[in-house]
Amino acid sequence: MTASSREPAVQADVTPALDMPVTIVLPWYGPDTAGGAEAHARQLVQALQQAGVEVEVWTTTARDARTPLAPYYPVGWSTVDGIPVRRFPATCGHLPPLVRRAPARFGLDKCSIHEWHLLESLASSDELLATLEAERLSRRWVFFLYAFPTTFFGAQLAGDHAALIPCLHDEPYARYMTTRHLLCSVPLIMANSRAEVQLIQQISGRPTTRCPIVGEGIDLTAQGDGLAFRRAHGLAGPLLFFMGRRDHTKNFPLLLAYLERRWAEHGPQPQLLVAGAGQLHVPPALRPWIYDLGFVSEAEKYSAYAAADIFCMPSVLESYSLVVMEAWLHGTPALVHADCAVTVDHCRQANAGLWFRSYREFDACLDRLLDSRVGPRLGQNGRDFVLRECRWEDVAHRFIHALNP
Amino acid sequence: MNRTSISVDELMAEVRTITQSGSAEPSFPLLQFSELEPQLRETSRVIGSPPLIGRTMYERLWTLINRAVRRGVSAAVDPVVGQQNEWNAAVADTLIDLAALAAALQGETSRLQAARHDR
Repeated sequence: MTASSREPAVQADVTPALDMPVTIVLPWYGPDTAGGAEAHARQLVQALQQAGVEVEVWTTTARDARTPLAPYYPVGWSTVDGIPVRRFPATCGHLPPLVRRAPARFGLDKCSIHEWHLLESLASSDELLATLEAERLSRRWVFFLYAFPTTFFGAQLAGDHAALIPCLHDEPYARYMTTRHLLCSVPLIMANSRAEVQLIQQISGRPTTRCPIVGEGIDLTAQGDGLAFRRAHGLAGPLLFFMGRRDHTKNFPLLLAYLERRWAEHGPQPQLLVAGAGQLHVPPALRPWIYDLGFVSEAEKYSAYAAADIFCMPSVLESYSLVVMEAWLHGTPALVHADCAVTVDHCRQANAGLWFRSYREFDACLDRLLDSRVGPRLGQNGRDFVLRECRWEDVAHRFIHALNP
Repeated sequence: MNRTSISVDELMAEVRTITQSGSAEPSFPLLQFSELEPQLRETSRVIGSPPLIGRTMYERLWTLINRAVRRGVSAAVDPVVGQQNEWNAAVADTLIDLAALAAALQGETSRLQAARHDR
């Protein structure tokens, strides 16, 4: 998402007005809904509304991926942060009736059985898709998250009126035939990063000119107090911060294994600071060197970024790393996994982080980042990058420009 | 020195030089096992009647025949599948418990090794 890679900068006064309202479609949406793409959607619709776009959200009654079917929000219209949200009953375990009647219309006659099963097993909404088909010409439809039936069938039902924000990362599902079919058939794809565009092109053969980089923004007013945070929690010495799910999806066990090895070789530094939902499974002997904040408030999260010397995101499945951007906003350099093209590309663009593929690289990177002549300067580079590139106003203008070039 | 004079690509070149001339990469067998744990749970579960999908007329015909055959032999097959699943789950539980014990032991070893550096 640098000035060199994305669409030309679009000024507010030359942004073309949209001729139709925009409806964002995704499986889950709401104030209590967890997930990076879901948070992205919430902030994007806010930015679009502030940019004067008539925008609404269509989604299901489910809360999020952890409870994909249990009704959490009521059916019908409601308002979330001033945005109209229309909810339909969530369904799962079968293909929508309009798909079962004509699977070939959606390219399902060519896909393998396990892909068919996957679409059946994910959260969807028969009623949402039926209503979408009836109203498909009345607005522009923007679908979030590539793998879900709401996106796969919805984008094909919307035809020329569809756009996709896939949040694609290089995982097995990305290589499915259904994914390739979707990426090839949808008229407009809005990517989060340069590396995501390359992956889309690699999978679908789609020209990069048809994948404008719209990117994401962050709240640039966020301000943490690192010193107060350290005092309040009694923390001293070098701190490495991890924020996110503490499981294999974020590659957290790898970080823990590498740190354990480093502690055994060099002594217990840096201390690991962890925040996020879920259980933390750590051998009892290592607990004195790990400070678990659990689920934290926004204010405490920002202060933790400011208190840390390094922010580590070892995940290899990212289409955009919001937490890396937030860490940079607080002047903290990043350490990321070399197999994640998106975060490595961002580290290069911002000149604000290092990457590792092995334990020895991890160890050497930590030494570099803990060097007082290196770490703070990389952190400052990151802050400059975020302040320059992550304004939601710019994201909204790029979005409007992509929909209405 | 101003902050733009620092380059992450140069820093990474330094990192690679250090790692190439340093000691060998250690192995992390417990990490490798923990990565396999979800697949272990999944692949050790046998399904007696995998779902049948008929997308074409030909497939639908075979689905009907398959369903009829399954109904006929289910009384013999289902108990065997159940026993096999119980056995597989017990083996998977044992492996996971052993890995947790090994991780605890390794953690204690790491703590003692780290304590040497603290002195």
